[in-house]
Amino acid sequence: MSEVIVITSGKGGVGKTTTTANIGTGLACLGKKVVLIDTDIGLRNLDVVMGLENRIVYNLVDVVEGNCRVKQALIKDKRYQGLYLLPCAQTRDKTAVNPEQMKKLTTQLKEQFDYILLDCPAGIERGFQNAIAGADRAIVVTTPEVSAIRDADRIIGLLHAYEVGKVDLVVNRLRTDMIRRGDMMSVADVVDILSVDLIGAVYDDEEVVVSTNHGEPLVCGQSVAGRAYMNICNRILGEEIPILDPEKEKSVWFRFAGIFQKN
Amino acid sequence: MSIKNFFHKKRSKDIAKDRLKILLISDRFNCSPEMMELIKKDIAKVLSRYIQIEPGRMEIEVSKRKINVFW
Repeated sequence: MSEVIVITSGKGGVGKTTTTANIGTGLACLGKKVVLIDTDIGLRNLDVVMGLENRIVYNLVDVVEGNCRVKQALIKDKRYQGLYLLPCAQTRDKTAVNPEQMKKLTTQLKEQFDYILLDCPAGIERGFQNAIAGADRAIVVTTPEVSAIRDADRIIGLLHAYEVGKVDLVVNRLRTDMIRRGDMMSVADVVDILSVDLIGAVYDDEEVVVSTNHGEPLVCGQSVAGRAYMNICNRILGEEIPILDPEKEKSVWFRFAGIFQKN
Repeated sequence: MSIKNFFHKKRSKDIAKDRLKILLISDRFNCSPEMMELIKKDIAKVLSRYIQIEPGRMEIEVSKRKINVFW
């Protein structure tokens, strides 16, 4: 059964595009047929994060306006079996597409793909309404900061109002050191405030920047963030995996010392 | 966290949480914190007509699905 998932946040710069790229790639790694759609018309970025910017011929607006067939606009990622990207136009604006057209497109894509992931633009205007139009479920990305949480709360309210079936939360860019000294809200604090289901916690990881530099998602690697994203993918598939907490993953030495403490 | 901090300073994440809690209530209901204060006073006034309560100790908890009043 196919599913349309919108990745949204309200606030910009919290990691929607990175999350979309990694969840999409991860699901493809797990053998699913996935298409990523960039809906940030005029400010596209999913193509560069995926490292597919040089292969764009047609885009979302061309498809909607009938300048090409959907198949012609889809870019096949040669590194991963079953992963495709539908980029958006860079020289147009959000009004080039309307929610009905997006709904029609996602319904059409559902016939060919297991997962359709929509990278939503920041804000709650037309771009947001386009992105959520055909969505079966939503993943709200936030960071443990006051501004991002406030916007996430607003977005969650809107998603309920638009009757998007299921809403899950990803808390991004958590920092263990700051949480430990009480200068950053923990995952539990954020979930407590937003009272929404948690699907993932991604701790701040330099590898995310490195992977973006390369245009290569890190979900299939062994980095902290990579494993966190892979866990999210498995949870989307319905597996029950505990939330990764680096605090609890103590070093070998720590465990060794722990044995003596018990005695 | 140093011992001094532990006794004297509120952790910044607690400040953030407290601010967010008030902010989100006013965002969700589209009304200002002052208006929330007025609503709280009115609820206290109505309740005190029927049951004994101390307005200063009354707490109102608002979530997306329900409103709880503790006293």
